[in-house]
Amino acid sequence: MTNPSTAATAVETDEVLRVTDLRTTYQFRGLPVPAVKRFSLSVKPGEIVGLVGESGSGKSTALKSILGMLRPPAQVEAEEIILTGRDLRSLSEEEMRKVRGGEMAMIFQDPINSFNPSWTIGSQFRRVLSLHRPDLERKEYDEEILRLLKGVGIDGRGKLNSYPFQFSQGQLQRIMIAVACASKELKVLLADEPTTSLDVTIEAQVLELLRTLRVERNLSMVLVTHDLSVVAEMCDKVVVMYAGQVVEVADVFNLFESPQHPYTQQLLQAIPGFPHDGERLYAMRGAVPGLATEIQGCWFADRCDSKLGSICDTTPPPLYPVTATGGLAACHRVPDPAIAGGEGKNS
Amino acid sequence: MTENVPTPAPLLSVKDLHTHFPVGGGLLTKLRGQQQIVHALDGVSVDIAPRQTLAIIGESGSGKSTMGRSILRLEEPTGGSVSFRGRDITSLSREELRRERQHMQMVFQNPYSSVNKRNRLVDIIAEPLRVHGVGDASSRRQRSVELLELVGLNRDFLHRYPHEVSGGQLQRVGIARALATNPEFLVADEPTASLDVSVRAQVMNLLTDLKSELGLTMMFISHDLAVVSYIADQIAVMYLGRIVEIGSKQQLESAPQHPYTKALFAAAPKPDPRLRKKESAPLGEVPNAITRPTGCFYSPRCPLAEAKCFTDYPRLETKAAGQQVACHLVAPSPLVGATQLPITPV
Repeated sequence: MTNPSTAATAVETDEVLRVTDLRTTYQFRGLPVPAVKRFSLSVKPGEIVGLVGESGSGKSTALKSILGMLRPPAQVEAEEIILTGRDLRSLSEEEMRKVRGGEMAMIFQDPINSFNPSWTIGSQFRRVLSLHRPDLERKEYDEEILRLLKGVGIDGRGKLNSYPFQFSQGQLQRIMIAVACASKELKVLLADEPTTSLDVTIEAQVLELLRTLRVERNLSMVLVTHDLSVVAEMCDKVVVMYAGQVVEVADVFNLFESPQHPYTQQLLQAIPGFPHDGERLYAMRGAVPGLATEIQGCWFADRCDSKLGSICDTTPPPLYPVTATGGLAACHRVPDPAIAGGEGKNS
Repeated sequence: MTENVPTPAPLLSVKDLHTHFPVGGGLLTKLRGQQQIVHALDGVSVDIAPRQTLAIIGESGSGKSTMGRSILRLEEPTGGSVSFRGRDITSLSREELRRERQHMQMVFQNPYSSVNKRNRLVDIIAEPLRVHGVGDASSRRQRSVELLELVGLNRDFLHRYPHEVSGGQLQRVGIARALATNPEFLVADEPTASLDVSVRAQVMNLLTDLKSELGLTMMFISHDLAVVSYIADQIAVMYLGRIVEIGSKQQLESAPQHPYTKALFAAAPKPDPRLRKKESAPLGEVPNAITRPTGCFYSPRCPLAEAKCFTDYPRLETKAAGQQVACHLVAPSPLVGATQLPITPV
């Protein structure tokens, strides 16, 4: 293992979260729209896994499916969704409610819209404690809230009766993280674009907070983002999604050094450097195909700069193993090292 | 260095521009004279030379967008002047302003909320032409096709509705609309903030192409430093309604002077896991624009602040050729210092 933080926990080997072959289908005007078509994920204790892709690639849908937040007519199928040894699909609605915010919690992109605007922060926080902290007496709640807020760098004294609009975006995002971490059982934090709506300085603070929480509580995280810089900053492992499918899985250092899937390669090329050297930006042509589109071969073929030929249009590429440490890529180039994209493949 | 090259007259010259918004309170607070004021823009001066792009960066609440909007008088400035092509537009009547607006247009951040969803793209693009009474229906349609092609879309898009195209395509339509009247000056307010990486590169390339093909002068508002680095000639850093540092792109990138500029640059995550940050994140948040700190507005967050910083607001002073910084702790560079020293009488 290249990363010291995963090396420490690798001894425990077991995954906290394993999702295999997840498929989520929405209904649109009576027709099924497959939003997630091929998705598997494995998260070790204390590991931060990045989930990257453009809008519409199914990142958020995958998270919500794992957490059981989707209702019919949306359909979620999976071979397994295992959280600390239990398959979540076998749980009752009541048990799932204990899992959400208990062992697994989610934080969202837009903090101001994630709180009820007409309730005070204190009352919303107390409600979470009443669900997930049976160890506390009601009169101990406020003390615990202040302690949790302190953990995210907010002095909550005198502020519990304030409403969400009285806090800044950065403060609300911290409060949301504090709420998500209220449960003592918390193992996995799902973070859906947690810093996208924040300024760079505040983003840096929130990312630092998440890193601290990981170390202090050995939390695992799944970090959904479209920002590869955030991935580089935070993650141990990266899952790249395109049009509802996982197209590449890689250790973060491998991903940036030798991306295997042409989509990942082209995505990395499109990021403007800072400071910019004056060269023209590489721009990927076209756009993500619509979810309801029927595509026989590889979904990325139309935008691919390193297309092999007719095989890409006729046969969907499976996820091929790339490295001995679990790297995968869904590209027909992978099985033949002579034509494989990306240089310096390490195995 | 630039002594010998005559500087062209600026296309846009902003002098001591103020835009204040009253907030909250009912009749009683107004009668008592306790009305609170947000100093969204508090004495900003910049010049933009023809064909140059000035980027404005800063956190939310720094007054970037208010600046763009005040220059176009989408917000009415409360003080100062904006002269465009040598004419003070802050004193123009509504009708005169409307005519002047043909030459100065805006691209907005969110393409979906800046178009009428019930209009077809052809009507959206041709609207400025209709407003300004340019041509007849058929020539406007012809111009719409040209504009669509200019931004890289074909004529099939003419009769689509906004919900039938992607965000990147709709942003191109927003740009086409802004260019309809052949403006000389364009304010682009975070035009790529709502776009995905792959599409963002397309729109950025389009903007730079248009800049050179049409000789556009631009004010480019963004919080994304990489994007700014790609398009800007000059960069101004704003903090709580004032400019704290301004200079050429090269100067700011290679030698940022203001502690806030440095913090902003350092905070931006880099797309390389080997460059992970080891130092801690910058402190605190932008203070409230109503009750601003005394002294330098950045002093509560500044790791270097000294006693003076908490009492006096530093003037924006030239520290190197073309680079102005508002900070007590930045000494003028020796090159400039020889001629500029007398300006600090303290």
